[in-house]
Amino acid sequence: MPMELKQKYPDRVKEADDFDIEPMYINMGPSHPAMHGTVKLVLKLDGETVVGTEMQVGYLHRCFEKTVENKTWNQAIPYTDRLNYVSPLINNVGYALAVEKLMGIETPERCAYIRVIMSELSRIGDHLTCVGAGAMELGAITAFLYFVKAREYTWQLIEEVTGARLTISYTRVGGVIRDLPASFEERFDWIEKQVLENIDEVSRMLEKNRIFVDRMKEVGKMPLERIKSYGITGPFGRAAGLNYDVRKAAPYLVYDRLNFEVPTRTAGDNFARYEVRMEEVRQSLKIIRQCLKQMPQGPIRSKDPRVSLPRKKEVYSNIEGLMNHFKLIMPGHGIRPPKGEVYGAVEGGNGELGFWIISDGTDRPWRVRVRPPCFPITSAVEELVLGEQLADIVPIFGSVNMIGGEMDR
Amino acid sequence: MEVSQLHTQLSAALGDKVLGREELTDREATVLAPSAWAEGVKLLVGLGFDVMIELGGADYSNYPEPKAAPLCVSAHFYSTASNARAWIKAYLPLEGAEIESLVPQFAAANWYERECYDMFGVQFKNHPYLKRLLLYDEFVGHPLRKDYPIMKSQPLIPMRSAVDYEAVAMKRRAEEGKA
Repeated sequence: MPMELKQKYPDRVKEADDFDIEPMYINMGPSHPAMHGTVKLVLKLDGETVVGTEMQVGYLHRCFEKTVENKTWNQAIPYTDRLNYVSPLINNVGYALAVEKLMGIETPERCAYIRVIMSELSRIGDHLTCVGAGAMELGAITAFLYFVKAREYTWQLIEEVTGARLTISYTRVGGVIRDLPASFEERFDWIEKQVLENIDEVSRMLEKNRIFVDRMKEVGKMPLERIKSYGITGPFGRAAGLNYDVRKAAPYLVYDRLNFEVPTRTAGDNFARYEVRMEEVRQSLKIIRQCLKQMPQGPIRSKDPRVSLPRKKEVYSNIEGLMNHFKLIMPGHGIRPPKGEVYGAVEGGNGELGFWIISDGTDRPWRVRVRPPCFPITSAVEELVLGEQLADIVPIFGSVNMIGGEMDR
Repeated sequence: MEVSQLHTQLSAALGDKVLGREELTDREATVLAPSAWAEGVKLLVGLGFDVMIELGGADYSNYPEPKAAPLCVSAHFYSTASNARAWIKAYLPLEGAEIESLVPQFAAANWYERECYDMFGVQFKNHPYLKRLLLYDEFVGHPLRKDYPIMKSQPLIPMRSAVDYEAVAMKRRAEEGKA
């Protein structure tokens, strides 16, 4: 909703004559402790009430889509890490799945399970960060510290698998880069216990805290109709009763073999979003537990010569192996998906993360368009905060969970 | 790939304003004439497609498979009742690309269209606030077009104070008011 910017002096004089109170304009951001990432909210205030807003984004624009058009297909993967930097594994998986769909590649079963496990670990980290940071902004810094501790465990586990904490680049087109370490299950047992204890403790702490509940309940409400109109998916949509989860609606990887619930609420306020996220953490732990039980042994990369490097022994001993290696490594060769167009969607931390990929049959993508899940939610903020108190913007924006890297790309 | 029921329904309702159907790797898309864009979306809403998932652009200049026109606007919708998706596309020329805005039907279209305008220079008719979304007002050109060189640099602009920003915004509104 575009806001009326201040007309300078003539109006002021006139309004003063009428004893009318003139609205006040405030710039919230781009660098503000309560604005996650860099985003600016221009507010028009009448007393403490927000009567007009303009959201300004783009401070973290890194030309992702243009850059990727000029890189090879696998070189795009490190760029996808930086989309949603709180849950980078889900982006890696989403991109790899879309390119595999384009090429018609089936990954081995173990690889699919590993991808699910790593996505769910990322989702736990994403939700813990969102709820923790949101609580911190309301003064509950203890909750934040507890959650960061729990998130640290999941990140340590991710580090043990991928070798990095944030910029992991774990998937490749056709597989993942390395297998889970032998100690994974044992470490996960311990981490699951820690995370569950942690969220139980924090939810007792928050849900019985009058200040937290009063500031979350009935604040930032959005009815289901508007949620649909804005195209909002994920925990934000589910908190208003939009029962849509890509993992259930269009199951990818092995989600159709797993038994989990998609929590929904109907209130559509901040508190419902908090509840949905907390419940999803529990469901994610359940999913990983099932995956570890079902996961078979086997290869972690597709054997398709179009995308996978041959074994070194083959390269050094026969011409087919050498040619295959050459074809994948040399500039101008590389992975070459056929001409075509796909849309691949996965359930990201904030909702549907889509990759619309167009290939012209060369080693570089013609176009990679990302449908970032927090984009529609951020666009709805202008409407969400309208009529609310200035102080309520903080919990509302916390529950929106805007991630700059993904929003601005 | 079989012709879907949805495409048949759209063709029956819009006649020759449906320009064709594209078989893509994983789905099909209905190509609409730009003049029937908003009308087609209204039909989709009537058919129960109540969530607008995405609207995005693409530039097909020099694409190996020639298209009706180089600029493509693609939108896709989801039906919560039937768990189905619908893809529609429209092709526009590079010069004077213009299409009807979908803001009256879907609130989501507001920012998607602003982004599409920002990156591809597509004008959306009757958009309430068509302004660059991710880039700044003084940016020259539309970067995701294929004729925009990746290493192109932009003119430097003086650092803005908050007041300057307001002046820019007011100037823009004044210009919009004139147009």
